[in-house]
Amino acid sequence: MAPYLIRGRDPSLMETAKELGLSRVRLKQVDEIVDRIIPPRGRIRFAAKKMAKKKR
Amino acid sequence: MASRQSVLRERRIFINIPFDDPYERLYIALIAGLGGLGLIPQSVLQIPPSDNRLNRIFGLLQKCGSSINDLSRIELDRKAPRTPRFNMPFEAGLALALTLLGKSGQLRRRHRPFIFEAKKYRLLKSTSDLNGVDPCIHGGTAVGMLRALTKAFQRQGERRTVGDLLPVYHDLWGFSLHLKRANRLRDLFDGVSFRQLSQAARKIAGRRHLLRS
Repeated sequence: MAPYLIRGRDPSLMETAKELGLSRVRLKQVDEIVDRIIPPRGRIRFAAKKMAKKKR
Repeated sequence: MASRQSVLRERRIFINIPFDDPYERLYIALIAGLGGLGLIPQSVLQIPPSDNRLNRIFGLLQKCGSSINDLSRIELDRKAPRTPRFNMPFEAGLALALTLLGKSGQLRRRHRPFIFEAKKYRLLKSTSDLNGVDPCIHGGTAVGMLRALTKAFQRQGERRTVGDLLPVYHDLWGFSLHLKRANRLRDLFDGVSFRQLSQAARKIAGRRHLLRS
Protein backbone atom coordinates (compact mmCIF):
# COMPACT_ATOMS: atom_id res chain seq x y z
CA MET A 1 0.00 0.00 0.00
CA ALA A 2 1.14 3.54 -0.58
CA PRO A 3 0.07 6.00 2.07
CA TYR A 4 -0.27 9.64 1.10
CA LEU A 5 2.23 10.78 3.71
CA ILE A 6 4.99 8.89 1.92
CA ARG A 7 4.17 10.19 -1.53
CA GLY A 8 4.29 13.70 -0.11
CA ARG A 9 8.07 13.29 0.17
CA ASP A 10 8.53 13.31 -3.60
CA PRO A 11 7.63 16.85 -4.71
CA SER A 12 8.26 16.21 -8.41
CA LEU A 13 5.71 13.38 -8.43
CA MET A 14 3.17 15.61 -6.74
CA GLU A 15 3.94 18.35 -9.26
CA THR A 16 3.22 15.96 -12.15
CA ALA A 17 -0.04 14.86 -10.52
CA LYS A 18 -1.07 18.49 -10.06
CA GLU A 19 -0.09 19.31 -13.64
CA LEU A 20 -2.19 16.44 -14.94
CA GLY A 21 -5.13 17.37 -12.71
CA LEU A 22 -5.41 13.89 -11.22
CA SER A 23 -7.86 13.40 -8.35
CA ARG A 24 -6.67 11.93 -5.03
CA VAL A 25 -8.72 8.77 -5.51
CA ARG A 26 -7.23 8.10 -8.95
CA LEU A 27 -3.77 8.99 -7.68
CA LYS A 28 -4.13 6.44 -4.91
CA GLN A 29 -5.15 3.80 -7.43
CA VAL A 30 -2.02 4.57 -9.49
CA ASP A 31 0.16 4.19 -6.39
CA GLU A 32 -1.41 0.89 -5.43
CA ILE A 33 -1.01 -0.67 -8.89
CA VAL A 34 2.57 0.61 -9.32
CA ASP A 35 3.46 -0.77 -5.88
CA ARG A 36 2.14 -4.14 -6.98
CA ILE A 37 4.24 -4.08 -10.17
CA ILE A 38 7.45 -2.69 -8.62
CA PRO A 39 7.38 -3.08 -4.83
CA PRO A 40 8.96 -0.15 -2.99
CA ARG A 41 12.31 -0.68 -1.30
CA GLY A 42 14.20 0.58 1.73
CA ARG A 43 12.84 3.42 3.77
CA ILE A 44 9.68 3.78 1.69
CA ARG A 45 8.89 0.08 2.08
CA PHE A 46 9.52 0.26 5.84
CA ALA A 47 7.21 3.27 6.19
CA ALA A 48 4.55 1.57 4.05
CA LYS A 49 4.68 -1.51 6.28
CA LYS A 50 4.37 0.67 9.36
CA MET A 51 1.30 2.40 7.92
CA ALA A 52 -0.26 -0.95 7.02
CA LYS A 53 0.24 -2.14 10.60
CA LYS A 54 -1.39 1.02 11.94
CA LYS A 55 -4.39 0.47 9.69
CA ARG A 56 -4.81 -3.03 11.08
CA MET B 1 17.87 31.93 -14.92
CA ALA B 2 14.73 30.31 -16.34
CA SER B 3 11.57 30.77 -14.28
CA ARG B 4 9.70 27.79 -12.84
CA GLN B 5 6.85 28.40 -15.29
CA SER B 6 9.10 28.32 -18.34
CA VAL B 7 10.83 25.15 -17.09
CA LEU B 8 7.41 23.56 -16.64
CA ARG B 9 6.37 24.71 -20.12
CA GLU B 10 9.45 23.06 -21.64
CA ARG B 11 8.54 19.80 -19.89
CA ARG B 12 4.96 19.80 -21.22
CA ILE B 13 4.61 17.86 -24.48
CA PHE B 14 1.36 17.97 -26.42
CA ILE B 15 0.65 14.58 -28.02
CA ASN B 16 -1.40 14.58 -31.19
CA ILE B 17 -2.03 10.91 -31.94
CA PRO B 18 -4.81 8.57 -33.18
CA PHE B 19 -7.06 7.04 -30.54
CA ASP B 20 -7.79 3.50 -31.70
CA ASP B 21 -7.07 -0.08 -30.59
CA PRO B 22 -4.25 -0.89 -33.06
CA TYR B 23 -2.38 2.19 -31.79
CA GLU B 24 -2.61 1.18 -28.11
CA ARG B 25 0.93 -0.26 -27.79
CA LEU B 26 2.40 2.87 -29.36
CA TYR B 27 0.25 5.03 -27.06
CA ILE B 28 1.64 3.22 -23.99
CA ALA B 29 5.19 3.37 -25.39
CA LEU B 30 4.83 7.10 -26.03
CA ILE B 31 3.63 7.83 -22.48
CA ALA B 32 6.28 5.50 -20.99
CA GLY B 33 9.03 7.13 -23.06
CA LEU B 34 8.00 10.66 -22.13
CA GLY B 35 7.74 9.66 -18.46
CA GLY B 36 11.23 8.13 -18.63
CA LEU B 37 12.59 11.33 -20.14
CA GLY B 38 11.07 13.36 -17.31
CA LEU B 39 8.53 15.05 -19.59
CA ILE B 40 4.79 15.54 -18.99
CA PRO B 41 2.43 14.48 -21.81
CA GLN B 42 -0.64 16.62 -22.49
CA SER B 43 -3.51 15.57 -24.74
CA VAL B 44 -6.91 16.59 -26.07
CA LEU B 45 -8.23 13.71 -23.93
CA GLN B 46 -7.92 16.08 -20.98
CA ILE B 47 -10.36 18.50 -22.61
CA PRO B 48 -14.06 17.72 -22.13
CA PRO B 49 -16.21 17.99 -25.29
CA SER B 50 -17.69 21.48 -25.38
CA ASP B 51 -18.41 24.43 -27.68
CA ASN B 52 -15.02 26.06 -27.30
CA ARG B 53 -13.03 22.86 -27.82
CA LEU B 54 -10.86 24.38 -30.55
CA ASN B 55 -9.96 27.35 -28.33
CA ARG B 56 -9.03 25.00 -25.52
CA ILE B 57 -6.91 22.80 -27.78
CA PHE B 58 -5.06 25.89 -29.00
CA GLY B 59 -4.68 27.10 -25.41
CA LEU B 60 -3.25 23.73 -24.35
CA LEU B 61 -0.83 23.76 -27.30
CA GLN B 62 0.39 27.22 -26.28
CA LYS B 63 1.10 25.93 -22.78
CA CYS B 64 3.38 23.21 -24.19
CA GLY B 65 7.01 23.72 -25.23
CA SER B 66 6.83 20.95 -27.85
CA SER B 67 4.34 18.72 -29.58
CA ILE B 68 4.42 15.24 -31.06
CA ASN B 69 2.27 14.99 -34.16
CA ASP B 70 1.89 11.42 -35.35
CA LEU B 71 0.76 11.44 -38.98
CA SER B 72 1.16 7.69 -39.48
CA ARG B 73 -2.56 6.95 -39.49
CA ILE B 74 -4.42 9.46 -41.56
CA GLU B 75 -5.97 6.77 -43.76
CA LEU B 76 -9.68 6.33 -44.51
CA ASP B 77 -11.78 4.96 -41.63
CA ARG B 78 -13.95 1.85 -41.93
CA LYS B 79 -17.37 3.37 -41.31
CA ALA B 80 -19.43 4.58 -44.27
CA PRO B 81 -19.12 7.19 -45.65
CA ARG B 82 -15.37 6.52 -45.54
CA THR B 83 -13.49 9.68 -44.62
CA PRO B 84 -9.83 10.46 -43.95
CA ARG B 85 -8.87 11.30 -40.36
CA PHE B 86 -8.26 15.03 -40.39
CA ASN B 87 -7.83 15.73 -36.67
CA MET B 88 -4.13 14.88 -36.54
CA PRO B 89 -2.98 16.93 -39.55
CA PHE B 90 -5.28 19.75 -38.41
CA GLU B 91 -3.72 19.88 -34.94
CA ALA B 92 -0.25 19.52 -36.50
CA GLY B 93 -1.11 22.61 -38.55
CA LEU B 94 -1.99 24.51 -35.36
CA ALA B 95 1.34 23.48 -33.81
CA LEU B 96 3.25 24.57 -36.92
CA ALA B 97 1.39 27.90 -36.92
CA LEU B 98 2.52 28.44 -33.32
CA THR B 99 6.12 27.77 -34.37
CA LEU B 100 5.92 30.25 -37.24
CA LEU B 101 4.41 32.90 -34.94
CA GLY B 102 7.22 32.25 -32.45
CA LYS B 103 9.90 32.59 -35.11
CA SER B 104 8.45 35.83 -36.47
CA GLY B 105 8.43 37.29 -32.97
CA GLN B 106 4.64 37.61 -32.80
CA LEU B 107 4.62 35.19 -29.87
CA ARG B 108 7.07 35.52 -27.01
CA ARG B 109 7.34 31.79 -26.38
CA ARG B 110 8.58 29.27 -28.92
CA HIS B 111 7.02 25.94 -29.75
CA ARG B 112 8.85 22.93 -31.25
CA PRO B 113 6.67 20.53 -33.25
CA PHE B 114 7.93 17.01 -34.01
CA ILE B 115 6.37 15.02 -36.82
CA PHE B 116 6.20 11.25 -36.30
CA GLU B 117 5.58 8.76 -39.09
CA ALA B 118 5.60 4.98 -39.48
CA LYS B 119 7.17 4.85 -42.94
CA LYS B 120 10.10 6.72 -44.44
CA TYR B 121 9.35 9.17 -47.28
CA ARG B 122 5.55 8.76 -46.93
CA LEU B 123 5.27 12.23 -45.41
CA LEU B 124 6.66 13.71 -48.63
CA LYS B 125 3.83 12.04 -50.52
CA SER B 126 0.98 12.73 -48.07
CA THR B 127 1.95 16.27 -46.99
CA SER B 128 4.41 17.76 -49.45
CA ASP B 129 4.15 21.15 -47.70
CA LEU B 130 6.26 19.61 -44.95
CA ASN B 131 9.15 19.05 -47.35
CA GLY B 132 12.28 19.91 -45.39
CA VAL B 133 10.85 18.74 -42.08
CA ASP B 134 12.73 15.69 -40.82
CA PRO B 135 10.13 13.23 -39.47
CA CYS B 136 10.88 10.77 -36.65
CA ILE B 137 10.15 7.28 -37.98
CA HIS B 138 8.75 4.77 -35.44
CA GLY B 139 7.96 1.97 -37.88
CA GLY B 140 4.70 1.21 -36.07
CA THR B 141 6.44 -0.57 -33.16
CA ALA B 142 6.82 0.26 -29.46
CA VAL B 143 10.63 0.02 -29.61
CA GLY B 144 10.59 2.22 -32.71
CA MET B 145 8.51 4.76 -30.80
CA LEU B 146 11.03 4.82 -27.93
CA ARG B 147 13.85 5.23 -30.47
CA ALA B 148 12.02 8.10 -32.16
CA LEU B 149 11.48 9.78 -28.77
CA THR B 150 15.14 9.56 -27.75
CA LYS B 151 16.05 11.05 -31.14
CA ALA B 152 13.50 13.88 -30.87
CA PHE B 153 14.22 14.83 -27.26
CA GLN B 154 17.96 14.32 -27.11
CA ARG B 155 18.41 17.95 -26.06
CA GLN B 156 15.36 18.14 -23.82
CA GLY B 157 14.60 16.23 -20.64
CA GLU B 158 16.90 13.53 -19.30
CA ARG B 159 19.34 11.85 -21.72
CA ARG B 160 18.21 8.27 -22.01
CA THR B 161 18.70 5.34 -24.37
CA VAL B 162 16.06 2.91 -25.68
CA GLY B 163 17.53 0.33 -23.27
CA ASP B 164 16.77 2.68 -20.34
CA LEU B 165 13.20 3.33 -21.47
CA LEU B 166 12.24 -0.22 -22.42
CA PRO B 167 11.71 -1.47 -18.81
CA VAL B 168 9.47 1.55 -18.16
CA TYR B 169 7.40 0.56 -21.20
CA HIS B 170 7.11 -3.07 -20.04
CA ASP B 171 6.04 -1.97 -16.54
CA LEU B 172 3.57 0.55 -17.91
CA TRP B 173 2.08 -2.12 -20.17
CA GLY B 174 1.56 -4.28 -17.05
CA PHE B 175 0.05 -1.26 -15.32
CA SER B 176 -2.36 -0.70 -18.23
CA LEU B 177 -3.65 -4.28 -17.97
CA HIS B 178 -4.22 -3.89 -14.23
CA LEU B 179 -5.95 -0.55 -14.80
CA LYS B 180 -8.25 -1.96 -17.47
CA ARG B 181 -9.23 -4.84 -15.21
CA ALA B 182 -9.75 -2.67 -12.13
CA ASN B 183 -11.84 -0.01 -13.89
CA ARG B 184 -13.62 -2.40 -16.34
CA LEU B 185 -12.29 -0.47 -19.33
CA ARG B 186 -12.30 -1.54 -22.96
CA ASP B 187 -9.55 0.91 -23.92
CA LEU B 188 -7.47 3.62 -22.27
CA PHE B 189 -8.29 6.52 -24.56
CA ASP B 190 -10.11 8.65 -21.98
CA GLY B 191 -9.04 11.60 -19.86
CA VAL B 192 -8.81 9.79 -16.52
CA SER B 193 -6.86 6.80 -17.87
CA PHE B 194 -4.52 9.11 -19.78
CA ARG B 195 -3.78 11.05 -16.58
CA GLN B 196 -3.27 7.84 -14.61
CA LEU B 197 -0.94 6.36 -17.24
CA SER B 198 1.13 9.55 -17.34
CA GLN B 199 1.44 9.63 -13.56
CA ALA B 200 2.30 5.90 -13.45
CA ALA B 201 5.01 6.35 -16.11
CA ARG B 202 6.58 9.13 -14.02
CA LYS B 203 6.42 7.00 -10.89
CA ILE B 204 7.81 3.88 -12.59
CA ALA B 205 10.69 5.91 -14.07
CA GLY B 206 11.45 7.17 -10.56
CA ARG B 207 11.40 3.65 -9.14
CA ARG B 208 13.80 2.56 -11.86
CA HIS B 209 16.12 5.44 -10.89
CA LEU B 210 15.80 7.15 -14.24
CA LEU B 211 14.78 10.51 -12.80
CA ARG B 212 16.18 12.91 -10.29
CA SER B 213 13.46 13.71 -7.76
